[in-house]
Amino acid sequence: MSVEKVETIETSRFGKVSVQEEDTISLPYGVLGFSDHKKFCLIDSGDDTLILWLQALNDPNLVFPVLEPKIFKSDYKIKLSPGDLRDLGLNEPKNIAVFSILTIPTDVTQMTANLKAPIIVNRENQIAKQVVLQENEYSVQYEMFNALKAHLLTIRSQQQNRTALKEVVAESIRIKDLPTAQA
Amino acid sequence: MLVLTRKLGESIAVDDHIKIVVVQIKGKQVRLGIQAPKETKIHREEVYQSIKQQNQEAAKKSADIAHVSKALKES
Repeated sequence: MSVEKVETIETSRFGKVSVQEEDTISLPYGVLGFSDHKKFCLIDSGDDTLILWLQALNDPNLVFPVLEPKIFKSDYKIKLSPGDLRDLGLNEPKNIAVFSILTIPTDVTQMTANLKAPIIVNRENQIAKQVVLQENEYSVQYEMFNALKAHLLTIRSQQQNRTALKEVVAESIRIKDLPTAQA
Repeated sequence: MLVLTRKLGESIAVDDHIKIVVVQIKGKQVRLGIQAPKETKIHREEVYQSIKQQNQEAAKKSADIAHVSKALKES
C-alpha cells in the first residue's frame, strides 16, 4: 500500500488546500523580508489570468501573486551567479521556473511585477530562491498590466481559432463516414 | 560588527579575493572602490530595502482575482 504524503493547509484566500509533499517548494532563505517562512506551494486558482499564488504553508495569510515574466516581457533575461546555482542545487541553469512577484493594488491596472528579484525554482528538487539580479535595468515595480492583457487577448483568439478548426474537422469526419454507414 | 579605521587610499581585504579601497573622502561622503570576483554580488543596501518593501506590498491583500480577471478582459 502506498502512503501518499498530503498535507492540508489553511489559507485565507483559498480555504483548505491539500498539498502533496512533492509539490512543496522550499525557500531555504525565505522571501526577502519574510525569512520565517521556508515552505510554500504554488496554487493555481483556476482563473484565466495565468497568475499563480505562492502560498506559505505555515501562515494562511502569507501569499504572493506570481507570474512568469516572459508572459509580459518577452526579452526578460536572468543571469544566475555561481552562488545562486549552488543555493538552488544546480550545476547549470537548466530545468528552472522563473516567477516575478506581483503587487496587485485595488486599481488593478496599476499592477506591477518585481523584475529585479525573481523567484527561481529548481524543478528537479523544488528548491527555490529569491535572487537579486545584478543587472541594473530591472525595476522592482515594473508596470505590466497592458502587456499581460495583450498576451491574454492573443491566447483567447488563438483558442477560438483552434476550437473553430476542431469543429470543422469533426464535421468532415462525420460526412466521410456516412457512405460506409449506408453500405 | 568589526570596525576598522582606514585612511584615504588604504584598503581592506575580505577573504582572499575581495578588496575594498577608500577612493575619496568628501565631507560626509566616502567613495569606495570594490575589487571582487565577477560572480560576487554587490548592491547598495537600498536595493535590498526596496525589494523587501516591495515584497511587503505584494503580500498585502491583493485585489480579488475575479476583479483582476474582469479588468484584464475589459476592452
